[in-house]
This record gives sequence, C-alpha cells and structure tokens, in this order.
Amino acid sequence: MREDTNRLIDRLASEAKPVQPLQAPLLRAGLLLAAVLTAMAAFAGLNGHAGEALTHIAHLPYSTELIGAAIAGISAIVAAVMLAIPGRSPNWVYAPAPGLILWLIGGGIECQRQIVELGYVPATMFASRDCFAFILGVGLPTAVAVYLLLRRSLAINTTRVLALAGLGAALLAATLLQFMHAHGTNPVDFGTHVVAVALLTFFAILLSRVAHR
Amino acid sequence: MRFQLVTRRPIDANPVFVIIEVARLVRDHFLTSTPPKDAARWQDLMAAAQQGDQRAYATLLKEAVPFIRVIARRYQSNTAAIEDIVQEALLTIHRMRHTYEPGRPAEPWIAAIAKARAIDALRKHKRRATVEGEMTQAAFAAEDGTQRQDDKLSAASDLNIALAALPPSQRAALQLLKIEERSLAEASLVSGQSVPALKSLLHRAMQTLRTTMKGGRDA
Repeated sequence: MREDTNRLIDRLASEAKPVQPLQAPLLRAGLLLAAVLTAMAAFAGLNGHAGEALTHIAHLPYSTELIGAAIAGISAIVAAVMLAIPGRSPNWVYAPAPGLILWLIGGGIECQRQIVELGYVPATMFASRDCFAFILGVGLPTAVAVYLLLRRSLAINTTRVLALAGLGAALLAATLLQFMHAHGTNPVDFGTHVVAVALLTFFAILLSRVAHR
Repeated sequence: MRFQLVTRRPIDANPVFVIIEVARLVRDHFLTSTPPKDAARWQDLMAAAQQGDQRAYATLLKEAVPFIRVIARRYQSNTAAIEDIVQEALLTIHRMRHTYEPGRPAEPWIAAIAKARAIDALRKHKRRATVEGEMTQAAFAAEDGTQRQDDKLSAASDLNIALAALPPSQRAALQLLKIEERSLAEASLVSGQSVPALKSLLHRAMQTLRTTMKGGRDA
C-alpha cells in the first residue's frame, strides 16, 4: 500500500483540473471510418480496378465476400472504440462476428466453385504473396491510426480493443484488395487473405500484451 | 483439497469457510447489482469533477471507495491487496476521468475500471506466484545437485581411505585385477603370487572394503 486511501483522495482532488470529455464513441468511430474509407476509396479509384470490381458485384459469392469483409472491418473498429470506454457492454466484442461469417462463407463458396467447376490447381502456395504484402501494408497503418485515436482512452480491455483494431484494419485492407485485383478469390488467394488478417490481429494482441506486461 | 466457487479466489473446503464465502458472495452481489440510491448524484458529481470542481471530485471518490472495495473483494481476500486495488482504481479514475460521458450513469464506468484493476492485480499475483514457484524449484534442484555432488565426493574420499587401510598384498591384488583389469595369469606374473593366492587376496580385499565402507556410511 502506497499511502492512506483518504490521503490519496485528497491529493487527487487537489490535483484535479478541468478536463474536456471525449466525444461520443460512435461519433469518433464514424469520423475515423470516414477518413479511412475515403482514403481507401481514393486509393482504389487511382490505382485499382474499381470499375471492373463493381461489374462482379452481381456474382453472389464475390459480393458476399466483399460485403462481409467490409461489415466485419467496420464493426470491428466501432467495437474497438466502444470497448475502450469503461462501462460499455463487453458484448461489443462479438460485433464483427456476422460480417466475419459472411466473409468466410463468400470466400469459401468461391473457392469451392474454383476447385469443382474450374478445376483450379494451385501452382505454388506463395502465388498470392502480393495480396499478403498488401493486407499487411495497408492494414498496419490503419491499425496505427485506430490506436492513435484510442490511446487517450485506453485503460481497460486493452487486449480486446487492440485485437479488434487489428482485425478491423486488416479486414478493411482485405476489402480494398478486392478492388485491386477485381476477381474472385481462388483457394490460395483466400487462404493468404485469412492468414494475413489473422497475423495482423495476432500481432496487435502480442503488442498489447508486451506493452501492458 | 481446494476448489473454487463463483469467485476466482480459491478457498479451503472447510464448511464454515464455505458458508462465510457464500454469504459474502450473496452480500457482494446484492451490493453491486443494486445501483446506489443516489446514482444520479454520482453523475452530477462526476460531471462537476470534469469541470474542475475539486470538492465534488473528492466527495465522489470517497463515496466510490466502498463500492470499489466490494468489487476488489471478489478477487482478493487479503486486506492490503484489496486496498491496493482500490488505490489503483482511484488513480485510473483520475487519469481517465475525461472518458466519462456526462449524462450516462457513473456506476458502470467506475465498476468497469475497478474490475479491470482487480483482474490486473490477480494476474500480477499469479505471475508472481509462478515466478516464485519456478525459483523455488530451481533452488531445490540446485541444492539437490550440490548434495549429490557432495555425496559423490564424500564416497570417493571414503574409498580412498579404505584402500589406503588395506594390507599391501590385498591392495596390490585389487589394483591389478579390478583397477588395471589384468587377467589372473598376467597379475600372477607381475606380482609373483600364485593364481589361487591372488583370488584369495582379492576376495579378502573386497570383503574388507565392503565392511569399511558400510561402517563409514552407517556412522
């Protein structure tokens, strides 16, 4: 015990200066997502095949995978912002689950179609290394942006919050990637996406553990 | 035998302790699940504290202490550890007071901070226990190794003393046949003793050694 609790209270009270309360978490998450999605849309418009990708939207597995990744990414970042605030429901941690399921179902159906209907045979397990580098290259700065937004309020649920931030950033990068290669994912592609997303999430968890040990 | 109830704190399987623990859990449950009568007051105090009202802040913290203590008690039984959690929670409340959203209930905000600090304390406690356990095991292993080494040195020293105490003819027979591992014929040539004599000397040397070593160990 450092000092008497009553004395600690008196000290804290005497040090208390006015503070500016944080904006509502949904507003902060909305502003961050607007900035990230605008930057990603501009990037896809300038460097990707957005027009071609939009022509595939009618193809159900493709659109399911795309929309699933986008929903999961957005809801993971909203959940990270919500969970960083003390007293919010811990159930926010499940928010990305529906999107994640959609993403996995869409990708799974497309992979199955590629194998059964098109007779896909992987040439090499590293054929999608560019996709891997893209998800990490876009996901990492996005995760850092989320962290910078949250760092002032990060006192509890650190591991969950950073895991959700990493997951959300990686899934948004995977969504953007769909506009870059504009084709349905084959099994190696999709496997690489899943591994990259898992790796970024794991990396965020590891960082939170190391930083708060 | 040890087991755990709803709490994370292991308790002894003594029925009296179990009854006390259950009673404490029930009391804690009702104390923390029922919002304080003046929950709206806490909201006002917290909002005033954010605006720099030091008196309101001190009042809020003082009123929050018993509430935090109840939460801490779910994770720790030691009074000093509970008080540490209370103080950690107060420091976090102070550092994070800008995260409270005016207009929302202050009780869940304080409870979440108190719970997080209690879990942190529990983790630290477990980590310390693991490290201490590993260190104790290492110390025991080192002590055991030293003991074994000491035993070996002591046995070697006893053997040397017993060998030196043997009559010269017995010691020579032992040296040739057991240490240098010569054949009986060879040893007979080197020592000038007949083969039956060597066998007899070796037998007597082994018996003397056995007796001497056993006597030394028994003593």
